[in-house]
Amino acid sequence: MGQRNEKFIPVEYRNYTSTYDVLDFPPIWCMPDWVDAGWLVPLNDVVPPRMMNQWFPYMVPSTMKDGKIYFIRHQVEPRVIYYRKDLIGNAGYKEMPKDWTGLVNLAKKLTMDKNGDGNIDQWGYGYSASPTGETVHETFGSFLYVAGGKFWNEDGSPAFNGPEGLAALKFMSDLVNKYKVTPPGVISYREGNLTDLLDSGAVAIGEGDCSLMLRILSSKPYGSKIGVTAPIPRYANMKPGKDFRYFSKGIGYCVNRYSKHVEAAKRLAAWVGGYEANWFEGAVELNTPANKAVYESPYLKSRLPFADILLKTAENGRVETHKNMSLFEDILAKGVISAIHQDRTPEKAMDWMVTEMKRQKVF
Amino acid sequence: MKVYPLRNRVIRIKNYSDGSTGMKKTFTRIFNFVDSKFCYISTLPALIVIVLVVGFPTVLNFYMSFFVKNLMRQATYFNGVGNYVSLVQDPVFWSYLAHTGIYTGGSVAIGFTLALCLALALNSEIRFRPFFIVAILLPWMTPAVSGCIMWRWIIHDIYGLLNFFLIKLGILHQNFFWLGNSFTATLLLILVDAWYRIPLSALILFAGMQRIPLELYDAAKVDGAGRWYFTKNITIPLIKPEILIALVIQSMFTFREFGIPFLFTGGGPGDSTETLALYIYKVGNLFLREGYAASLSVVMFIIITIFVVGYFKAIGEKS
Repeated sequence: MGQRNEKFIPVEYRNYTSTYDVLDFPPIWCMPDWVDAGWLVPLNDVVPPRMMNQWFPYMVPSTMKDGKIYFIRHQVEPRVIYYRKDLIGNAGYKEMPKDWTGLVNLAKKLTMDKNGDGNIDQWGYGYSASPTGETVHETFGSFLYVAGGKFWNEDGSPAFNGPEGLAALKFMSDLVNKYKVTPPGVISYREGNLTDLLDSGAVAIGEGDCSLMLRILSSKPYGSKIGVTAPIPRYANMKPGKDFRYFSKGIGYCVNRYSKHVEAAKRLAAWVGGYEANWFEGAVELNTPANKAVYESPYLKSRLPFADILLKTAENGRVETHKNMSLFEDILAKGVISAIHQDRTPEKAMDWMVTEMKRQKVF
Repeated sequence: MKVYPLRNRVIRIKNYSDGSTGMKKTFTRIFNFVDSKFCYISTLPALIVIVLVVGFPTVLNFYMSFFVKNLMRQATYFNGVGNYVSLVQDPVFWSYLAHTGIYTGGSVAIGFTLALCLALALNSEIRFRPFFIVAILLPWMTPAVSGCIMWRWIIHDIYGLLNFFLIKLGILHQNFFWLGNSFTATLLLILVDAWYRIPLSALILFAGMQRIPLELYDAAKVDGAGRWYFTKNITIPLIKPEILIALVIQSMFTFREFGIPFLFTGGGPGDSTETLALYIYKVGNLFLREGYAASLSVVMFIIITIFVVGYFKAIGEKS
C-alpha cells in the first residue's frame, strides 16, 4: 500500500485501476463522497458488537452511513490544550481555568512585555489558523464544539452558523483584537509554528491536536515544562458528553470495492479496530488509540504521555463528516480568517460563508 | 581516410566501403542526407519529448475544458462553452486574475530592474567578479521551498529578523505582522518572487553585455561619453534580444507560479494573495472539478501567449 492523497485515489477509482485492498485514510475527508460513489465495502459483518462497544461512542457515527460501517479507526486525534506549567505558575495559577472568561483573565496576566521595549514577548494564548489545509477547520471546530455547537444538522444543512458558532468565531477574533492576548500572526500559523512558540515560551497556552505536537512537546527538553488539559468549555457549568463534545479526528481502514481479496481485506480492517492493533498504536507508535479498552493497560499508560487526559477528551470527542469537505474547508478558512483579520464582522463572515457554500453547492 | 567538407569545418571519416563502389555511394548518400537534415534530426528527440509531455497534455486539457468532469460525483458530460461562461461569471476568477496581474507586474518590474543593475555592475570592471557571479546565483541555487521557509522566518511576527532590525533602528516600535496585511503580504510576495528570479535574468543580460564589442565603448570614450551614455546608447540597445528573453521568461514563470504563493503566503491573509495558479490547483486537485480547472488553465495559457506575442511585438521587431 503506497501513500496517496484524496486526489489520486478518486482518479484510480474512476479509471478502475485501483487495486488496493485497504486504504488507511481519515474518514472526515472522504467518507460520504466515497460511499456515495460506491467505492467502499460495508464492514458490518466483520465487526462484532463487543468490539464496537470498545470504540469511543461519539466517534462511531462518522464512520457510518445509512447504518453501515465503512471505516474502522485505529487512531483518534482529540484536540487538547498545551500550557507552560512554569509560566502559569508564575502568574499564580495552579490549574487551568474552567471557562472562557477565566481563560481570557489568565491569558491577560500571561501577556506581557518582559523587557519594557513596548513589544510583547510573551503571549497568553495561541492557536493555529493558516489558510492552507485543514487547520482552520480543526481550530474553529474545537471552539465550536466546546461552545456547545456542531457543524451540520441531520439533513445536511449548516448548523455552524448558529449562536454557538457565532460565539466561537467572535471569541477567536476577540482573543486577537479585543483582549489582545493572541498574536495576530495566528492566521498564518500551522501547528509547527505554534509548537515552536510554546517551546520557547513566546506563547504560554496553545491548542492543537495530539499526534506529532504532543510527541514533540512531551519530549526532552520541554517535556517537564509542558502541561496538557482538555479544551476549556464556554461556560464552567457545561458538562462534556452532555452539553458539548471535543473535536477529535482520526484515521481508519476502509476496504476497496475493487480489491481482489475483499474478504481478507475486511478481516484486516476489523483487526485494526481490535485490542492488539490499538495497543500497538498507543504503546509503540505513541498515537492515541481508538479502542478504549487498551487504556487499562499499565504499560500503555506508562508509555503514552498524558494518557488520562487523552482518554477523557477522546471519550467525549467527535467529528462530523460531510460532502465536498475540501471546498467546505477552503470557504470556512477564508470566512474565519476574514473575521479574525477584521475584514468582516463575525456575523458578516458567517453570512458570507453560508452564502458562498450555497453558491458553490457544498450543501 | 576520406576527407569530407562539412560547412566550414573539415572532418575525417573512415572508409567502411570495403573498396566496393556501390557501398561507397550508399554510405556517401546517407552521410549527405544526415548532413543536410542535421538540424531536424538533432531536434527530433527533444521534439518527441515536448509533444508527449507538453503538446499532448495541452491538447487534452483544451478538450477537457469543454466537459463537466467531477470526479467525486462521477459526472462527465459535454458542456460546450459552459465552463468558460461560468468562468466569466465567477467573481473569484476576476479577483484572482487581478492578484496574479499585480504579482506578475510587480515581480517583473522589480526583478528585471535589479537584474539589469546587477548585470551592469558585473559588466563593469568590478573586482572579484567570479565571486559576485556565484553570490548572485545563490537564490537560484536555493530550492523554492527552503527559500520560502527562510523568508517566512525573516518576516516572522515574533522572532523575525526584519522586525528585530527595524525596531533596533527605531523605525518600528512594535513587532509588525507582515503577512497579516494585504498590502505588505502582496509586496513581500512580489519581493520574494523577484529575489528568486533575479539570477537568471541577470545572467542572461550579463551574457548579452559580454558580446558587445569593446571598440564601441572605446570609440564613445574618445568622444568623451560617460557611463550613463554607454548604458543608454550602447549597452541597452545592443542587448535588446536578451532583454526580450529575460522579460518573456520572467513574466511566464511568475504568471504561472504556484510554489512561491502557496509556500510563502498560502494565498492569505484571507485570499488577498491567492493567484490563478493556486486557484487552478484547488479547483482541480482539491475540489476535483477537472473540467472547470482545465478551462482556467486554457485561459491562463492564452494570457501567457498574449504576453509573449506582446513582448515580441514591442521589443523583438525593433531589435
